[in-house]
Amino acid sequence: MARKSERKRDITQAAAFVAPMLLVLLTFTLFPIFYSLYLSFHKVNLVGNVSYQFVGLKNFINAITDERVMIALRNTLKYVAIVVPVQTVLALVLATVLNSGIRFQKTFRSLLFIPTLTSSSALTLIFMFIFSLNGPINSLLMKLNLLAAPINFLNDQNSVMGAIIVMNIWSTVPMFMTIYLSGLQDIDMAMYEAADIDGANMFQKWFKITVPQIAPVTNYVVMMGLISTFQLFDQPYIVSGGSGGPNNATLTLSLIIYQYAFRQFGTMGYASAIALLLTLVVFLISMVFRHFSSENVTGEGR
Amino acid sequence: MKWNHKWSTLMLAAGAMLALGLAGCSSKGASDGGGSTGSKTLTVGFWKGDSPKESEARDTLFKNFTKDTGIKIKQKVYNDYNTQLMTDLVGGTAPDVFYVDSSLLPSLQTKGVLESLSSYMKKDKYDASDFYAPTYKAFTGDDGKQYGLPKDYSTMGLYYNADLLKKAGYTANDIPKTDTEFLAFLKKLKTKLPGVTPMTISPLLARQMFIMQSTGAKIITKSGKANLSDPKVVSALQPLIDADAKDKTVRTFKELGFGSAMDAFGSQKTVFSDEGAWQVSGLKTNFKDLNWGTTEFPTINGQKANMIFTVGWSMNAASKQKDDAWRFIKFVTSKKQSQQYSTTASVLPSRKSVAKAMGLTDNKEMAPFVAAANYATPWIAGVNLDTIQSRYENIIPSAFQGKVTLADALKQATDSANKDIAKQDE
Amino acid sequence: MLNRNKKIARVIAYVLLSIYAVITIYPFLWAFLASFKPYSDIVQSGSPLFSGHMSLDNYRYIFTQDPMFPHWIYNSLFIATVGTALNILFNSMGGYALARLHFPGRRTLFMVVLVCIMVPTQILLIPNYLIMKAFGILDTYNAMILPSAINFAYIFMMRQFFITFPRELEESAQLDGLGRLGIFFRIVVPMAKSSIATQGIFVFLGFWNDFMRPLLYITTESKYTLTLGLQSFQTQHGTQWNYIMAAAMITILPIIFLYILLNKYFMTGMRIGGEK
Repeated sequence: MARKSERKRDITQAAAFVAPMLLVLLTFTLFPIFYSLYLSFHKVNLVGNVSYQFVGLKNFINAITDERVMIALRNTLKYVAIVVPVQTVLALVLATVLNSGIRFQKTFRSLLFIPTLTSSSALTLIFMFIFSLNGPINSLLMKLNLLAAPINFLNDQNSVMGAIIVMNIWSTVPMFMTIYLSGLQDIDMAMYEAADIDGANMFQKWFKITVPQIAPVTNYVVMMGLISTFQLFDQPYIVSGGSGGPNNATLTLSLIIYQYAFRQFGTMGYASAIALLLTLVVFLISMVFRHFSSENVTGEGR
Repeated sequence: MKWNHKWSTLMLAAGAMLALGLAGCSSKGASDGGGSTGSKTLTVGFWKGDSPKESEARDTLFKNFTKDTGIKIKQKVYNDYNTQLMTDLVGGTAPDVFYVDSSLLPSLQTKGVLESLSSYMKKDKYDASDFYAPTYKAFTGDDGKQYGLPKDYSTMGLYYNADLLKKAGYTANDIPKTDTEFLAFLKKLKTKLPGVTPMTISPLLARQMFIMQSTGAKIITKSGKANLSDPKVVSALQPLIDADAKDKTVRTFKELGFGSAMDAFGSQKTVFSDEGAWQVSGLKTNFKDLNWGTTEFPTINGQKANMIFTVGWSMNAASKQKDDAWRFIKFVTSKKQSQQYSTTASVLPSRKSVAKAMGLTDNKEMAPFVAAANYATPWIAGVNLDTIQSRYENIIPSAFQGKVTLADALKQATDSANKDIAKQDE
Repeated sequence: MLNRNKKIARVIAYVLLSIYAVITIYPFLWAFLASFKPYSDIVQSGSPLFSGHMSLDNYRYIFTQDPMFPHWIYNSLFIATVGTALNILFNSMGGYALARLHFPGRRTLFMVVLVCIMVPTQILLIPNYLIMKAFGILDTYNAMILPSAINFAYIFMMRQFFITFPRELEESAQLDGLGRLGIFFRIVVPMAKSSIATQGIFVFLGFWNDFMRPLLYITTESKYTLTLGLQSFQTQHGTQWNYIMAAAMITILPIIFLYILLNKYFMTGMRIGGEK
């Protein structure tokens, strides 16, 4: 009897905690998601004479067989595969160094944090100059004799994605570094002291203590990295003027979704279908990641 | 605990601010609704344009209208026209009157978004013969009805750097008048001016369409599909591609490492630039020391050719104040207001009489642009132009760089565009 | 021996951080210097940015050209502040519930939260627009604040944080007769300071730098946010780089100021977290 009322109390309390979240979630996210789910099975015209025509799985079949979608998927996967590991490792290394008890820690941390303060569109505009034919990157590489002639990074189908990758790692590392830093400061110093007594060197300490202890934060960083990289939109949009060029080199899935949703009439259903496929891909990949990472999905095992 | 207290206070403050915000908004909303008892308000959608002068001219236009009719104007500025207009149209929140770029007219018209102005024009005996024909026809639908009236236009001109020409031993009079001579002239300039690229262009369909159609084929088929891979289109564009990929006498501004053609030209890195009339004000504000002039394009295959870009005022078919909307369109396209607007904003008026009154045909800088208005190709090509344009601009930089052949590039763009077009139609 | 190794490690650390700091600062320094330059100097690539004519012309232009400028700063500040406060409250509560409380459907709710992070925003813009139109909140601050009053990524972050949170403190508080809400606000929240500060800064930045949503949801110029207002320096046929650079500096500066102001809390929050 007491158990039952306790349970009831638990639920009431939980309701108070999740109610605000649930309200916003239902209205502004779940409803739109179900709406686009509905759209993805239809051929829709939302402008002028509004019409919905059920087409079954056709949008999805079209998407899987669409050459442009496949190119975009390939570009996106390549981007994710490079950016996520690099930014995660770099962020952890920088955070470790910052946390190693050096002087000017605060100054360095503030300096390194600055890119996070700026919008990605403003940053992209600045970077377009930095990467330009006569820009500083080309002149540096030429001074170091790494390049014979300057590369037109953003206009060349072979280098443009590389430039965007560098741009993005540069701008996201500080954020993850900060998250790592707050995590690192929660690690019990006694563990390091014990290792010191055992005569461990700093690499051993890093691999044996820091990396495993920080694993929950790494889970978060990798998950967020995966999700945000899969949604890459701003840089390709600005660099290519929305076309995904040159020669599809900057075509990403989010850019294709935008093109079908906003730049063409009557393809909203198709855009929704591609968006749902993208969501599915991200979901599956992050589930696989979580499966292999240390923590189980809901944390109920604890 | 102290800290906790601070946070709770902050949360409370935030809650209060939000409540205030809500109250403020709703009371404002109510007063907006109530305000309509006294005077009428018309919503007008536009984008800001190229110079602050344009905003000034537009503000005067709106003020004059309110003074004349008592109808207030609610402004809606489009910062990203395509994205915002699409959202507006889906949401049913589009303004009563808004700018329509001629290239969008066919798709907007076939969607039934625009109100036909024909009956209003007939009723008021509106005289349209004063407009330059290409600008007026740009807003005539495929059903013969009129869906907008041109506000102004721009054509392209050949900008030349007088100092660089002089350095090479030429004057503006030496610029050849035909395409083959002109391309040969560029080669001469290249040898005479080391370190300077003879000409810069923009790799955009809007700038190349008239060249592509110069051998008689259209870039779209009769049913509106992409026809970029037509052998005639390919051969018409080939000389320009070769001039870049092979001769390096023409380079896109991106290949030169600049953000726009104006920047390359203004930085004295090129002798010529083919740009719209909008570059005039840009060069004057940003490159004050540059010694430049304009002239008409050389003929292509013996024909005078150019592009004309025009923007018009159109009425929303879902507007609840159609009579007021028409009054507005009639007012702002009238001779008097058109002259005020064009003079203040330094844009090219779509009315011939206004161009004459402004003395544009005698204006050395502007005359080449005005002359082109009579024969230029309007920037319109069916309902799928945005898709075709996007595919062209995706692949064409690689063709200019010589990484793919032009024929292959245009075939790829055509196939890709037509697949998408089929997706919309099926 | 140990000491020498430590010294070498320290030198390497400084060198590494300094190099990375230079890489980080360079683009900003470039943009900062460019904001004092006339247009022609900026685009004539190769021209040395560290010399030549510098003036405040660009800043003067921005402030005189648009009398709305102070409005935009106020709007951005208001939206970001209120939005951040709501996010901190709701995300922390949601994250705590998902980590600690027992209720039916918890697992499902967590999955839903995860999926919501993953849906590409481009597809939600138009449905959201229709919803806000139905509620009549288009072109108000609420259109910017309400749909973003929670953030799934930070709900997820807070949940990750609370999962590793020691239970003993809560249990002893429970024995003292505190209810769940009391435990949350009196015990849990103060202990989560560092996570909340981190979350707060990122949420604030999200609001401050958001571009797509104000573009679609706000139409009256006096209600523009700073990002949207700055977009107007990008004209139909080109970008006025000199004004954009000056404007970018103006968007960044308040944020840097705020960051320096909050840095103290940020730091103490994290240090306390480390001492526990």
